Amino acid sequence: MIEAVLFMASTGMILSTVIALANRFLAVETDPRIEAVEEMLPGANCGGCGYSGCPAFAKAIIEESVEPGLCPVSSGDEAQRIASYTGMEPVFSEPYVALVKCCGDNTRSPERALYNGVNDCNAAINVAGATKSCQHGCLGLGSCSRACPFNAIEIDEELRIAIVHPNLCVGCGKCIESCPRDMITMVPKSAPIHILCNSPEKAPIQRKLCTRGCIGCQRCARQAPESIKMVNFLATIDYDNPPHDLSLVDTCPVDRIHTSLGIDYIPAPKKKKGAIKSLECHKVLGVAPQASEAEINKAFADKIVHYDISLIIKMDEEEQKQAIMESEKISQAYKDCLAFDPSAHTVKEGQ
Amino acid sequence: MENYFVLLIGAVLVNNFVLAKFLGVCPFLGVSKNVKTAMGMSGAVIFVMTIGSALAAVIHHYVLLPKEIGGVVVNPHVWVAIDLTYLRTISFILVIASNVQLLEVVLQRLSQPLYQGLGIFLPLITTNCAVLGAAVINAQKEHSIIESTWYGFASGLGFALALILFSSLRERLDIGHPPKSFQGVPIALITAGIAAMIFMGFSGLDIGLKTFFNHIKQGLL
Repeated sequence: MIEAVLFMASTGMILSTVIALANRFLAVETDPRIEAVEEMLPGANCGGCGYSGCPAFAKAIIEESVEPGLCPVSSGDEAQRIASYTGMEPVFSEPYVALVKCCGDNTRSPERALYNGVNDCNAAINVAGATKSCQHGCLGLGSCSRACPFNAIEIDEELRIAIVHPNLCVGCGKCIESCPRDMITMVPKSAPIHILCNSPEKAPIQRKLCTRGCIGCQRCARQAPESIKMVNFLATIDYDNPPHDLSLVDTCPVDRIHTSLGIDYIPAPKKKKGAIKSLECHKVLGVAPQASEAEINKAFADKIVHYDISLIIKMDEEEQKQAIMESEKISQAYKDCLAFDPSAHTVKEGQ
Repeated sequence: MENYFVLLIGAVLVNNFVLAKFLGVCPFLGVSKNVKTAMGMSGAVIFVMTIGSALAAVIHHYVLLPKEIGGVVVNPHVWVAIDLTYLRTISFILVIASNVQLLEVVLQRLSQPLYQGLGIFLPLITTNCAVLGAAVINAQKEHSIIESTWYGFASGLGFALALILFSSLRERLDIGHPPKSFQGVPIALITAGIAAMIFMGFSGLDIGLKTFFNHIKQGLL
């Protein structure tokens, strides 16, 4: 036993001495600041800064005095901390987010074939140009979602469309290459209006392919000529000079202009067989179309404002008119709701 | 020379470390999510296995293995008249673990790109059973030091082959449509089983090659 202990102890001693010597004489002198900066970086290794990863970026910050603000992931505070550590003035780059230029889910641009292959856009595109009717739209098979290191792109499995969550997206741009249809772009986070279409087709073709496609009517381009340009029958926003006028949204006849990114993108309600179409009167009262009489009564009592004479005296003429119109609208809606016959408004099969 | 060729074929295809000997299954399943990391891991394993096998063989031949000199069993190199072979496993572990530590320091000095490429995988395989397995098999089969080094390299190649094949399979599986209950690890395990069965098709190849070379030597062919 004693020789075993002796043997192991001596072997251990020899090996540890060798390692210690190697560590002493072969160690590489690295700038300790690089490690410190690397600690402060988020460590996501996304490559959004233009370097291969956080260690490379940290090295560039120290050795080449690169701006720490280039990192899309770290917040302003972190960049500020790194900048003060290295003694630089931080310059912040404008935050960017990914935009999937398509709102044509499969209720709007229907699938023209059944695809059963590998669940990936780059694979599907090789089979007769994939299944979506529109040859420029989102396939919704999730190549971009898998490429995203921050899980910022969600795929709606049923509607087959990619939805970007702008608060998770850091704008690293990894998704751009993953899309076989080149329809993801980086847009400034501050831009309020986006055009969610990528199809340069003419109106007659476009109408057949997608109910929400850009038909090239040029209404938005005429209203904001300095920021919206027409490219082959597709209205395109110039993000160097993005439009801020929210009324642009109403000019679009096909509802393709959206005021915000994907998170506010609301898919079309699914029309199920036998569902009851909601009318204007129901919207005014805020009740479901199949609501009972008691529910309608209650909603009416909640909505209608009882104007006291003391209130009316305080109003000017314009406000009085408004109040009267509002009351009349609610009363009319109440009457319509009571007279509503659900069976006459049921959505028929195939609609 | 043919001997080395037979050893290579034997370690890569016939007795593949992962798929036939079931050594190193942990990194085989853990680091095979995508091809890129699998390649890093394979590189690190080939590197460490080659050097680890060589060092272990040196220890085995010059320290542990007793020799009979004049009717007395002695260890001529450590001047002890006892058999130390029962310390084989523990001393191999010690040697391999310190070897990896040493390699890390040396690599960082000599080749920065290789060091960064291997990255986290180098310290990860300190206790990989495939590395120890290669050393122990060398000792059991009484390979010489050069043969041991070659065998370690070949086993590393076999591991790399299995890992890279399997990781590309898993990349495909991720985007396929397996039934819900099979998604993720279950389908990976089944695939690994099928891959192991495929490699059974190579069995006997090394023995056949050996006989073939023997026949050539004897002028029978």
